[in-house]
Amino acid sequence: MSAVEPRNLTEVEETPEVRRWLEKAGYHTLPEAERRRYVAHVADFCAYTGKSPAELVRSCLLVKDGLTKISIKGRRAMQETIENFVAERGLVGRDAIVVGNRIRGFLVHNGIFIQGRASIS
Amino acid sequence: MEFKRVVGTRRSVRFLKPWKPVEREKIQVMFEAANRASRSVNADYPRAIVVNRDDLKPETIDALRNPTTTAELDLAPTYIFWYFDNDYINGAQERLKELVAQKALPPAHGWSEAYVDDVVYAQVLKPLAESEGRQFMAAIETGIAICNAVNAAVDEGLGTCLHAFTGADAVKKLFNVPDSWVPVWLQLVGYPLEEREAGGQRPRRPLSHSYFEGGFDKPFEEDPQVTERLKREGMIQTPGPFPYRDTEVRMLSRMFGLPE
Repeated sequence: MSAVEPRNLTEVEETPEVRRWLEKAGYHTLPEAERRRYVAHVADFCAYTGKSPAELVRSCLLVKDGLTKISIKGRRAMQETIENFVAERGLVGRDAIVVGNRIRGFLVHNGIFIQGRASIS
Repeated sequence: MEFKRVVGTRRSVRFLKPWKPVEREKIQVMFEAANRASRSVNADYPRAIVVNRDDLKPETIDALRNPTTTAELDLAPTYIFWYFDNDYINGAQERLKELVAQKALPPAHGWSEAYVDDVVYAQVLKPLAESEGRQFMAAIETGIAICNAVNAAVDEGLGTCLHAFTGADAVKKLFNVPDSWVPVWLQLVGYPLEEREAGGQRPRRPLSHSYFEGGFDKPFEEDPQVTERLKREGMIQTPGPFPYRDTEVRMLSRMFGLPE
């Protein structure tokens, strides 16, 4: 990912979904520069997909008969999109896993059960 | 380890040492424990396939991955795919007669070969085999066997956790699983990377919540002296979360680049 902050960073950081992630993951207490570096991954992913944080979460969900459920197709598509994103940003190895899982962490804290690889090599 | 301490020490351990293989002999202990479990009509309900992650090709592991089971496959050195065999009734008639011959099912309690042939098989097992209820029975009995395997793993110093058996179609194809096998649990096994206490004993409601004495209107009340003895003997342990659990999980997550 470019060292330049995504232009949508501040906008993304102020959304309820990102705020929830920051708070639940304990990132809200991090120094601002580090916190923004984390948020930048999600902001860049939003720009990449053309979706807001809320839309990213919603794309993994399905509302049926008044009940909100995980969308199997949506989550699988999200998994592929994350893999494509880190690849297109030129990330490999542990960096790819960490950034991919940071985006997954954002989704996890917004109710999406999703797993990425662990960095074991 | 003493039995009570095994029961008390068991946790769902999700952080395993990916670099430390599980000795085959420990898997044998787990399977033997499962094989010795209580089981109705002495039928062979459980089936299991054990595979070691490092013996699998990367593309095979990738075929097992899905959005809900991925990191776990990386962290665990050993996978056990548990099933029940829906054809468990086959041979049950003869196995029951073995128990009659052993006097495990004695005449004192009404058992005989004729009873097995004419009543148990003809009127119970055969109709059961043709009904939906056979899966219910098999699931319960396989669960008992898996419980023994889980506790045996703890006794052997391993960490383990039962996971939803997703990707059953891929597993079936990769490991030539028979059509009659029904997936139950994916058990991941390895050496615990987190503390053995894994943040402390999990919350449980008091016995009076679920257990009763003489009738539903009389909850089973614990004898404090017995409770104290169980604490001394390790069945009841310090409840979680330990004050440093959050940090423990965070640091382990960072080690593997996982979400925090």
